[in-house]
Amino acid sequence: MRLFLILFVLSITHGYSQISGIFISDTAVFSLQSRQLTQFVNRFNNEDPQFKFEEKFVDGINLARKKNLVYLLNLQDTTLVYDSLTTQFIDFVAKSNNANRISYFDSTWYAVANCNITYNGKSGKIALTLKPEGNNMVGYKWSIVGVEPFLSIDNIQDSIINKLSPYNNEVNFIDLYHFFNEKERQLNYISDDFLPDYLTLLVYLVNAGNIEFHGVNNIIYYFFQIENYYFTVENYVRPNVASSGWLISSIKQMDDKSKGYLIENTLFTKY
Amino acid sequence: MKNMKHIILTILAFCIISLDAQVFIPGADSTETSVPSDDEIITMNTGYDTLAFNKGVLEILAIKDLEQEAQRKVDFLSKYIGQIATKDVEVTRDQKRSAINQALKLFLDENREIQVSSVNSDKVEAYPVRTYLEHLMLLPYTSVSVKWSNVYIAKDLIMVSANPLVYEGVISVVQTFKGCYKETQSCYQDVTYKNIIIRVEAEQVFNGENEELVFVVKLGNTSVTETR
Repeated sequence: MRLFLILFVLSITHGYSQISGIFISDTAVFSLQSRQLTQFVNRFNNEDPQFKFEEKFVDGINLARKKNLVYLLNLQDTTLVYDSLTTQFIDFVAKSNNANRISYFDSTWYAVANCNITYNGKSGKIALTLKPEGNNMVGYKWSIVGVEPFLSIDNIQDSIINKLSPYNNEVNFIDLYHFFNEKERQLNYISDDFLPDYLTLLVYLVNAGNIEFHGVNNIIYYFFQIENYYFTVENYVRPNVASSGWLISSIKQMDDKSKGYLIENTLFTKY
Repeated sequence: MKNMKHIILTILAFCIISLDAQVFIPGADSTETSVPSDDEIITMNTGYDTLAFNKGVLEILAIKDLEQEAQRKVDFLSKYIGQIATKDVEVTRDQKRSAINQALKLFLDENREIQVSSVNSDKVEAYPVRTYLEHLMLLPYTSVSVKWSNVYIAKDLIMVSANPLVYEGVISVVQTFKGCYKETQSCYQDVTYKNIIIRVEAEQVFNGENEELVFVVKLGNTSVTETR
């Protein structure tokens, strides 16, 4: 079984490999590769006219769609290919009675763009979460909806003096002076429940000239549309390899509640 | 049962590879037919920038016509780039300048950016389209060849704006670049996969009798997705 899989993976590593007596040219490899996310979406939905296979149903599963889905896996990731969850997911999506489509216009998918930046002159990375927004009346666009915490806001709590004491109000909150003048102890003066809004902070720092953008390093797409599952899609650059371009990099089983938790805690935006 | 599913999945994956015989190769035979000759290119007026339709709803537009127009734009750009980069002494500097100006007309504006990459570096840099084209003209090689092929056009145009009416799509192309030095007989060659944004903008024009909606196809930002 494992040998069989290895043979398959090896067989798609070169543009002119001979597979079952058929040579795949560079041109054909280009066609097989999912160069645009739009291509990925069309193939996922079994709606790409270039990948129309003969419709055949076995146990309610559309085999044509199943073929398309298998080709959208990162086939060089044997862990993903071997995982029984992958098979379950593909069978679930390919079930003829499931309306398992994904679309640009869905509200439950996100892109995380990992960007190169300099912050106060030092190089770093920042992960922005983006989401398509709009409607047929005004048009569509991608909008930034979240950002991964990019600054560690540490606090020094070494003194009972560095806070607003209980009767500070009686002295006209005189110690607010320290909040404005002692950067390292600022959080002592803020509620313990305070959660910084990093997107607002980012907007401020960019406007203040503290952060410079140096391009997008890579993008990960998160799709939450499929009931009880979510999956991620990443771009794999592999010259002359058919399993290349935008491919499924991970599949997880998850209910709606957990999806909401993940979106808020990993993508840093509201569900 | 669990193993059985794995086997089925793997066999399925193995079988798919043999399907390439059925795969339609986009643009494989169409890129040459719609491109005018090099001589025509230099003097060609891009007045054929527009596709006219009697009704202004994109849903009833002939999407295929828009695709063909987008493909024509890419073909023109490919030819212009060839003209700009060529070291053929019969192509004068003025003709190259003219080709740059014609190529610029294919884009939304001169602020559109073109990403550039090299097999010798992981770095991808972006230049405004005019700067990119002028760099092409000044390449230090004694002979240069730039060819574009394998156009894939996304069928799903997405509305960017309702007023003015603007739609957006994307095209994938493969660029084969070869630059050689006569003295050392050495060459640099790379194959670059690019995605190009296309914009379809609606314009009201008066055709002499009444107003009609015209759709203009323009090229936008261009990214490099792979270089080898």
